[in-house]
Amino acid sequence: MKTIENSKINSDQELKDLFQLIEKEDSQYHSFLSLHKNYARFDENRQGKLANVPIAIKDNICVENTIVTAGSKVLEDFTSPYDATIIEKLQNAGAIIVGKTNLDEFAMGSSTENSAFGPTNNPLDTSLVPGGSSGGSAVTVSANFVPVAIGTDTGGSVRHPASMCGVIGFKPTYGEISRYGVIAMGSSLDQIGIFGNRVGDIETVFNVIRGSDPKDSTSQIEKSKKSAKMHNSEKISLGIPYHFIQKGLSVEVKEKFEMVVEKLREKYEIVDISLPHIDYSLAVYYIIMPVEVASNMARYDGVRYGKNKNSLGDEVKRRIILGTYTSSAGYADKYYHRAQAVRKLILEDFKKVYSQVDYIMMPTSPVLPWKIGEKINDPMSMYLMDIFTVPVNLAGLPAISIPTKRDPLSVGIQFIANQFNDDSLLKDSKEFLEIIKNI
Amino acid sequence: MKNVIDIDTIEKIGKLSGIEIVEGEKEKYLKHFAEILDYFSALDDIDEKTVSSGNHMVTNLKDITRVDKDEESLTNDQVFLNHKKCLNKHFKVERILYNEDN
Repeated sequence: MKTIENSKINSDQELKDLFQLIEKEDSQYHSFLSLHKNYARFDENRQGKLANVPIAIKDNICVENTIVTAGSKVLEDFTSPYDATIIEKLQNAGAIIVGKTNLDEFAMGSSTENSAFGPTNNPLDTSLVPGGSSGGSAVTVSANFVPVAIGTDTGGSVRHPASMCGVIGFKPTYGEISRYGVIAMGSSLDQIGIFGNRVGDIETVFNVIRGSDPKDSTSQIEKSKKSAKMHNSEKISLGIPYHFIQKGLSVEVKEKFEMVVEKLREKYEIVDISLPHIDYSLAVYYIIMPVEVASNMARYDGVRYGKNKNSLGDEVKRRIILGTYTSSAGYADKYYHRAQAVRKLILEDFKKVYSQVDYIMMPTSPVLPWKIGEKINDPMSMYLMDIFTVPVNLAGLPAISIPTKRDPLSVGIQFIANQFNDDSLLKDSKEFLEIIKNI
Repeated sequence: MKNVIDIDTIEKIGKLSGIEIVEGEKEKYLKHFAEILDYFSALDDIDEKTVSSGNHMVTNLKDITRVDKDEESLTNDQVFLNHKKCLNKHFKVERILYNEDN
């Protein structure tokens, strides 16, 4: 298992060997869209917390002078004119960006099958999807190419593939990490997330890339941080919204989740909680997100970015049309404005519950990974895969998906904290992982 | 299906969003949207008037504008880096205004 500690590159030859290994092994997974063989360099004088640590980046994040495709034909030969803020921060900490990873087109999907460059396969069983949309990044960690990888999470796109591929996936509080240089999807929901095999590694990367950035006004959250409070009880309490998770859960996931709960009960207080509006989350998400998508995608008019929207794939077109419809005159009140109001109710429910418990816990995905091709022509059944991850983005909360034993039956368990409690969530997740990892 | 969209609406929305919808695709959109909009009707029983709207959900920030002074931005070369049709540092764009007749 790769960790930051055991993956540092020590010579030019070691970096060359890593590229060779990826080229050979990745033919079965297709996790990388491009390798930065001409850009990535080893440098023995490099200082910093990530000195010469190889990292993979989702291909919707800009790295100066390299191609950024967002998994789309529209940007297939688009060269980034600048670095995203997180890329600057990673490189200042000494990281080696080895390449860009596959994703659903413009990060829209839950299986990485919507990539214009072909799907990615799950290392636990290559006939299965790796989840999405950051499936490529999840696979680079799961296949042991790199110790940590970067993804983006608008409705679960880091936690979901982490759960499918048996690795850890962390999505911080909205605004903790600058989105400057990230190709926008749903701007009020988008957040950068981190994949790894150790919680400590994710913590290290998070501390390197977090922080306010004048180039992203939503990252300027110093003031609101003060209002964050943690429930203070002696024993950590975990709330489970049983009323919500019972529906749609597959037998395998249900069984595994119950085993995990029983094990956690030995050490923590388990509380049955109620989130009265959470059932509406998926509908609210699939109204708000496409409206923001339609707005963000308007820039692909064929002028500044090469090809226009007609080169887009089915799912992206569907979301643009859906978002245009639900926000158009005559329908905005029925859909968009109502969804905004319900989003607020969902957030208030979460806030109330965090006065009773420290964390909320539920499965990350309702089902195990499915066969490639199985759901691709049924958008509604694909959207339902996000049911447990989207409430977190609607409320801007930090959450982590922690895997059970690594095998094709591995299930991700999601722990959700109150806003700005990212540090305590990561600290306690180390213990959660120790308990869960052998179940 | 409670929510039926007709072909005219699909065509109108396609035009509004700048996407050409080819003949065979229209039926597919009709079917998918009916399913999706049915799922959205779950929100019908909520009275959203009781909820106050307002600042940003998470950050509590209102609109932010930066101080009005010069800042380093992309150079001309960077701006035109990915543009295939430009002339003397100008973008060449498709015609957007037409007479009714052509």
